[in-house]
Amino acid sequence: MTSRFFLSRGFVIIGAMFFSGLMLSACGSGDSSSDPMQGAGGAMEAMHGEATISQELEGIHIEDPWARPGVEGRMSAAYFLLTNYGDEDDRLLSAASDVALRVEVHESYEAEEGMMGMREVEALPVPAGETVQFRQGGLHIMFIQLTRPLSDGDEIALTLTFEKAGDMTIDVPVRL
Amino acid sequence: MIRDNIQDRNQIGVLFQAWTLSMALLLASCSDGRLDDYGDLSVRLTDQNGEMVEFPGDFEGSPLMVGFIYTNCPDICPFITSNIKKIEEQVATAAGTNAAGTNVTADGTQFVLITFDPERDTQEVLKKYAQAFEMDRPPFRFLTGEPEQIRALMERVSVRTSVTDERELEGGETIYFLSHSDKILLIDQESRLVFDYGGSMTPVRIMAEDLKKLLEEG
Repeated sequence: MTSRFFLSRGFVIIGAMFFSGLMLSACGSGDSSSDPMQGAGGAMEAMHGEATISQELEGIHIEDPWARPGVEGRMSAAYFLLTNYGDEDDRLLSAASDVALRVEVHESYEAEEGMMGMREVEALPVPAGETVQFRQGGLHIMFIQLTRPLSDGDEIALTLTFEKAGDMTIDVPVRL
Repeated sequence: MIRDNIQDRNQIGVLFQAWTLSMALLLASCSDGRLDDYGDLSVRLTDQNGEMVEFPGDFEGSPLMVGFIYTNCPDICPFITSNIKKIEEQVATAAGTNAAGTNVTADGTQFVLITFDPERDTQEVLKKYAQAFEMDRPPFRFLTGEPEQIRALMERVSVRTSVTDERELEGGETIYFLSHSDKILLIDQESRLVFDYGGSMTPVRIMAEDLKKLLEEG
């Protein structure tokens, strides 16, 4: 399933590169004043760009991280999209940051009608080929007792430890 | 015997009058579509600046969007707080900006967050919390109060809480978390409840539209 995903994706990338080249050459020929080499240069840039993306699609990938502002001694939370582009299932074991006394993986849930509860999630599965959403009202990285205030525009370092992928440290922007 | 008949008739009359009155009240409440009337409440609270506030009396005359929070909450309560801010932004954007370029609500709608954890959420704590969310300014207010006042208010507005996770941190300090109702209320100019929303679950757009409709009704 995953190898088919990569094969088909590789095919799409090669196809996209080919058509990007065609498009760029078409642009070059349509404009008599332009340098004909510009099209080729553009195509090279496009190839380089695709190569970077395909490299990033290996293993665990974390997108769109952000954290809430918070008061020193109180709480905050971080959110992101966690995708496993690898062939093996993985698990998120723990999280760490120097901005809080404790950092844990938690999940908000509707305990009963209209009542929201929260529970710690230990060893969160991150299956191969799937994206796990950390979002408001659901899974979140919980910062317990912030060691400093977090304000809009700050950036904090967060280390996620996976069973197979090991430690990954990301910069998380703080925003409202 | 005759006296008994008269008494019975009087009792029937009183019952009939009570029934008529209750039906009239019921019809009146149905006709304006309000879910509750908080006009009989008088809860003394304090805002993040230490100013005394009486709920709902001091808010009468303008609509009120009110959310219920506690500041040791990492996810749902900041979500509710942020939603209150976004509702204000949507309605303020609709109303335009003033000469200073600040978003304003033309009608004076107030946006309030009330803590259900007054023992820990003191005025000073709420002040810092409001600052972190850049909401330490009108039309926002963060309210706390004496525990018994808060308890009476929460009971009336059906906000329930229970301690779910109590633990000792490194350093010996004990911390606890609460399961709690997820709630934002829209209250009209006459302290009557218009809508009772899932505070984190309801799209901001819907709550902002309801507020705009209420403003249009006058």
